[in-house]
Amino acid sequence: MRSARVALALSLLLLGSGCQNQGPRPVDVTPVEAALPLAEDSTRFAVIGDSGTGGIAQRDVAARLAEAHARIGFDLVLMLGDNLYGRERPQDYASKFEAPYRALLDAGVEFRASLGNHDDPNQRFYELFHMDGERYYTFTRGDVAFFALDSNYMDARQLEWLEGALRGSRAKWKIAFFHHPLYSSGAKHGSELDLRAQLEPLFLEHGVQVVFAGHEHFYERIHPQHGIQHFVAGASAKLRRGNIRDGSPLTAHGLDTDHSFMLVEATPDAIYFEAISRKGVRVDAGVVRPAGAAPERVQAGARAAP
Amino acid sequence: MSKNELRLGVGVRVRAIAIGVALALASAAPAADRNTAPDTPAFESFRERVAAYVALHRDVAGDVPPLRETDTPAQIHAREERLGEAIRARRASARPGDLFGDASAAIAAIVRDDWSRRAPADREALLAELPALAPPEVNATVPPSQPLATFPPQLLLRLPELPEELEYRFHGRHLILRDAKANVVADVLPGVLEKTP
Repeated sequence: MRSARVALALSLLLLGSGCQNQGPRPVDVTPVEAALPLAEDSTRFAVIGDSGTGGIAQRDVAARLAEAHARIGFDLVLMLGDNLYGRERPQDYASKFEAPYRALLDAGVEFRASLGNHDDPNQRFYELFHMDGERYYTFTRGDVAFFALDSNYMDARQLEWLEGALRGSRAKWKIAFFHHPLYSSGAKHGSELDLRAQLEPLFLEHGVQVVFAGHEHFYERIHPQHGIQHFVAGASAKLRRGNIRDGSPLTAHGLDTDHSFMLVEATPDAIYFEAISRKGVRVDAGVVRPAGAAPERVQAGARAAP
Repeated sequence: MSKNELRLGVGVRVRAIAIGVALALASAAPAADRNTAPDTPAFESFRERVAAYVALHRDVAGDVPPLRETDTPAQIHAREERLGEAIRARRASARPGDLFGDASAAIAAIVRDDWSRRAPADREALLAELPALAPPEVNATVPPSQPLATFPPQLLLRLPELPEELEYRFHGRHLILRDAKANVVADVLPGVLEKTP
């Protein structure tokens, strides 16, 4: 009995000593029609995945990104891997990255990359990918702590690092991004169960709220899983048309008929997101809030128009 | 250079490599208890061979320009190639199994056990990422145009942990030890994955 009291006292002590933001921090998601709020002092960024082909689709999406930059003024782009397909000669860095995103690079937008299965891990030394010379790394912008992972090679060393980095973060929002999706309705790849078994417990224990992944060449917003909002956004240059399995219980919203990228705005209270097609059409939008903080009325999200 | 100076130079290099092996062994120590590879004599000797390789790698790496963040991709490319050439030169006589050695059977057994436990759909998904390739030669460059197939995380945690210079990869149905900084095949274990999903 006494030991139970001691345990209770210790638990209360821990709760009041800075550990209050550890443990699951589930979110609610509300689909909306409205655009990003463009709030003062918010953190705005774009998300691209599987982008490094050097082809016309990549350049079209890059043009839409530049238009979005003019509209909302983001200064950060997350890259979800497969940053350079095929050869990685110096001229490939130019044709598959620098040229397509020249307007953004010239405007001072910072790209932050994670590694895909088509990427040479030595990309981490390419300054314009801002990986700090590491295969996995973390950085903070405003209220958001970002955790870039190397999902190609999730060894014990990386898991130890991730646990320490997540534990040490007191950010309001914790966002992880990497290549292979823990949840996906893709007919070709699907959910990465091995990876999920390793990462999801850490995400839940340390309060990750949002996850971005690529690998699948379509856009998919997953229904929150254990309170975490997962996005698949791997269609910024490649497209696997019709690959989202019909009737998948995971899918909250999907687009597999056009290329796409995402725009995100994080405020202290919410994370707003949009998915934009290669044609410049907003195909999905919504708000991620801590569970219980969402408005009572939740609109149903319609499947994206092609 | 006198004979004594030469001997001193060799002695210093031998001592440096010995220290390097000790450091590499230390850095190869399992991270906490996530890694579940047993401490068998075969795995212990495997770790020692890996440590010796890493010491050689670090010794060679000291002779090529350091790789720092750069906005010039040509530097990344050139450094990787020079490091690879230097490692090949130092391991010119390397043969398949030099690193896996007496741990080969145990490592292959872990891979096959993992494979047998996977659902057919999971095996098919993994095989879909693995083009049909012949076993690579030791010291060969891993083809830069081929994707590096994702290594299953659960399996990775069952194999002896490697220092950051080396990684396990599947190349076709073959398990390789890839030098992660030089993109060179450090060793190969042919045909560990079964042919049928």
